[in-house]
Amino acid sequence: MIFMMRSKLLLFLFISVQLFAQVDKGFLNYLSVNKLEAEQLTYLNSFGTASPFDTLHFYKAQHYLQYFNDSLFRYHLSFSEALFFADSSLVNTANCRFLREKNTSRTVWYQMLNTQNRNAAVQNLTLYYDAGVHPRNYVVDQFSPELKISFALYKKMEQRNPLAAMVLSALVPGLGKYYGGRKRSFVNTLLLHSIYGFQTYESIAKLGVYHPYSIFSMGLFGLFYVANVYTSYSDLKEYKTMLRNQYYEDVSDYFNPNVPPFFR
Amino acid sequence: MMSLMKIALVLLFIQTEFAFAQSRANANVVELMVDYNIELSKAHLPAGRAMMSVQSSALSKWNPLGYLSAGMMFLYQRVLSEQIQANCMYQITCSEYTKKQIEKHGLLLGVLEGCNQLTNCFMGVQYQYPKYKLSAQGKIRNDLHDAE
Repeated sequence: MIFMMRSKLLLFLFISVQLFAQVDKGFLNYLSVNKLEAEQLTYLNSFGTASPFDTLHFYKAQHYLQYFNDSLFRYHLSFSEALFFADSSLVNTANCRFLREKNTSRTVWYQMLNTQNRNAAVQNLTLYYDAGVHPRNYVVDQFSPELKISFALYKKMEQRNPLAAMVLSALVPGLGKYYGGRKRSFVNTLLLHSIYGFQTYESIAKLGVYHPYSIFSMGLFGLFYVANVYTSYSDLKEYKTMLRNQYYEDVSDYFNPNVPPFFR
Repeated sequence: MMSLMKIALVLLFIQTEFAFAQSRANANVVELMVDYNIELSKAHLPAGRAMMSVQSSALSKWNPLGYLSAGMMFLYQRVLSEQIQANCMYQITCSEYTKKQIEKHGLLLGVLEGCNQLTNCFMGVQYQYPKYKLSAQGKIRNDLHDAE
């Protein structure tokens, strides 16, 4: 009888301890919503070091996803991929977050999405990323109205050649900028070059080529001319990257449930 | 007697749980320290205007033009810019941007990029940039670490 009671008591204690050792999801949610980062991490660490294939990795991955620690997020995600990719809202959140990254972590995230056989929703997300990498393979009409404008502009500019912009700028100052989609810069550059070119010409005509003022004017005009030619090349390359980033930002807004429709 | 044994067993059980908790706590301290070190490593230098850093190569180190341009920039930023109340359309001003570009690409390409920003600093230039490049104050975020 006594042995029975003792064993029951021990069994009860074991079960109760095991129950209390479970991660309190409501409490974690509270910590997450109120952005109590250190408290959340301390709470998660209080369960000890997680063994492989433990749900603790899943919660830690969520934590590091929220607080922009990409390397630790990927580490914990590697142990909890099945759980993580089954949660479609969480995958959507991570996707919206990584689309906004302007570094290699965006590429790494999409490599991760492509590594295993994912469900149809995840496959659909990878198409939007692929459209940013290979825009020529996609038609503008495939996209929803919210994404059409940014994708059409990106696709149009992606086909422009930076070397052609350089040649055009050498022929007419600023024409390369117009070719690169910057009309205001074209007007401004042409106006500046015209005024300063005329002033240089006048100083040469009145003072002579070897006058210090003419030499100074020619040097400065040459510097701005070369700068215009070179930067027509570099600006177009940079502009393409910017437009791709903007397209990804728009895709992120489109899929983000926290963004109201009127912002789309 | 039996009740005493029960109490003793319960106490023993609690004590072992505390012991495990203590060992866990020690492990947590190590893990927390690792995390905080990672956070600390991400801390960047405070933003401020400083002289350009001298390049490591011998040619750059002893190039008088580099020192001259750095000195001129320093004088412009500390004396002239404050006198003329210069207001730039870009978040990183033209002179600061030129300095950063010289540090990154060298004197020639850096000066060319700086000249480009100087000629493109006019009212309405922000309409040529995508939305995400504009700050809350309407200035263009021309930070260098943008490209993938």
